[in-house]
Amino acid sequence: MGRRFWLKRLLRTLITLWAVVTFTFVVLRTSGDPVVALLSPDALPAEIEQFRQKWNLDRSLFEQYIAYMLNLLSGDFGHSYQDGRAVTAIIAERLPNTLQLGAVAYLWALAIGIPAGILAALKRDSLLDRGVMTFAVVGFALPNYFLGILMILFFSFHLRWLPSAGTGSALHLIMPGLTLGFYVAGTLARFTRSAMLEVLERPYMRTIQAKGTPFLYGVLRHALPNAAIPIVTILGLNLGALVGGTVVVEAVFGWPGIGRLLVQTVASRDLAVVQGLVLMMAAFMVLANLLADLTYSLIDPRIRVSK
Amino acid sequence: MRHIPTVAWLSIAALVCALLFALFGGWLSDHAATQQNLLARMRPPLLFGGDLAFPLGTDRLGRDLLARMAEGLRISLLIALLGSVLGALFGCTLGFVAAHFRGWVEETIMMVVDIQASLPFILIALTLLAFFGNSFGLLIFLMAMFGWDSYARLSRGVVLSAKSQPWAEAVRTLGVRPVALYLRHVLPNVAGILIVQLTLNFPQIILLESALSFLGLGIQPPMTSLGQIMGDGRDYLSTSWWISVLPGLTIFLVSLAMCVLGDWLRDRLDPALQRVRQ
Repeated sequence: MGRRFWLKRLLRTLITLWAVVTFTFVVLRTSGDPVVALLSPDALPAEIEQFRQKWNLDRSLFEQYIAYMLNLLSGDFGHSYQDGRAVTAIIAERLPNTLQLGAVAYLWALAIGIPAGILAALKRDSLLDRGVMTFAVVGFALPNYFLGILMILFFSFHLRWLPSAGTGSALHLIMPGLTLGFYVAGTLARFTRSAMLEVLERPYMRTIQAKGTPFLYGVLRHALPNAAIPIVTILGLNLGALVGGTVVVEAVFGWPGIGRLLVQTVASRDLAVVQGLVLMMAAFMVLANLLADLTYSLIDPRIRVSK
Repeated sequence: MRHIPTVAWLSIAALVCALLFALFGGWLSDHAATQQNLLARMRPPLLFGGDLAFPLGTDRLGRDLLARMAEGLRISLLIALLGSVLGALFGCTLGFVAAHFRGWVEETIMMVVDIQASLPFILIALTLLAFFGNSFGLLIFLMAMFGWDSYARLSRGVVLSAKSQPWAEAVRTLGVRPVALYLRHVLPNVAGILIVQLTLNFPQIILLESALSFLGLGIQPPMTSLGQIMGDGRDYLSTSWWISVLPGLTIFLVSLAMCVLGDWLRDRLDPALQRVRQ
């Protein structure tokens, strides 16, 4: 993976970002008159005129496109037509909540998923292994909104331990965090298990055992790093599931993050905000994928050396 | 017939039950799915204090949950089926086109595949729903769009490898046109792989549709789907848990059975898969 690879990879990242930006532009222009779509129905003629000028709707489509790109590049995502506030300000207000939720979900998924996968691989075909695999399949098929509802019923209404919705304390974070991370934990356990199984069968693992290296040391120092590539891949891919999951989980738990904001603005067709959110989430995903690729060469010397 | 494991049997049985319930479940109920009975609102199901008039209870408008769930399951399955088949057709066609023309056509198609695969699909779905407004046609389109990328990638790969095989060369030398080659000779050879992909894709479509409907952005009343019934019940969890839990359980069991079946099919067909890949 030499310089050529990275240039190609970087180019692809940029093209993806450009495609998303262009996609929203095209969809916005083909879904009807943007004035009708973006302004409230009772807008005054003067407002409409002002809006047309601001978004350059009186010019050619190509000029509009250029102006739109320049606006985005300068950080101007437009204004919500619900309350006229800047889209960036609205998103900035909600973003910390989602980041907090995502971090909790990701951390617990890592803390459970990877050890569970390792243990399942070490004790192959045992009861523990079956349990972990069942957990992984259930994590895949169990919709997160159903899991959320079951948790609310059990922990909030039956046991009365945890608040069913809202934010404010660490207790509020537990159920949405667990729900959001459940799918990730399941897939992570499954992939860690299969990656570890493959490594454990290699001759060098037998050599390490024959040398008399302590078992746990051998597993953690020699097997895990060699199994890391598929694990990192799945971590990167799961980030998408996490971003998509926030949309649903935040709705179930009334969590005031950007996922719930997206659902609300889609329902009320506040297109300026929807566009800003989609662009931001897409940019985040694309950069995360790039980061996952970068991580490969950091954790695997073979990738760094071979050109 | 080789040995079929118990879980696969159980999954098949569960799916047959679900299908029968979707098709004929309405007959078990004396009520229509949309019929309101304001005197019998939020009745619990049988065994939880309910009676035979409403075996699975009623919702906030006194509508019979049994009839609604049969109706909802039917629509959920129908949408998933339509979406899977359309997505498979669309994806395979593009995959075949990419493998046939190579060059910039292939590069472009595969780039679009990569772009879609790199974004959470629910984002794309929500964007289109926001811009074009909700409609049944758009929903079907979204379900078809979801997953076409994996069919395209898969079919491109198998066509590329099939093209290099001697029999494909022989068929071509006989003067068979490319379209006929792909449809009559390549497609039957790769049907197994595509069926496995279909089984893996199907539960994901069900989950996506019910997620959108749960959020109130999918199926709209007077039509109903399992996700929509769940979304309705979300506000009545503290008093009437069954409105959300029963449809949720159904979605979970159907997609679980599909996943297990898909995994098993994939394992069964694995040697074939590897032979084609080589």
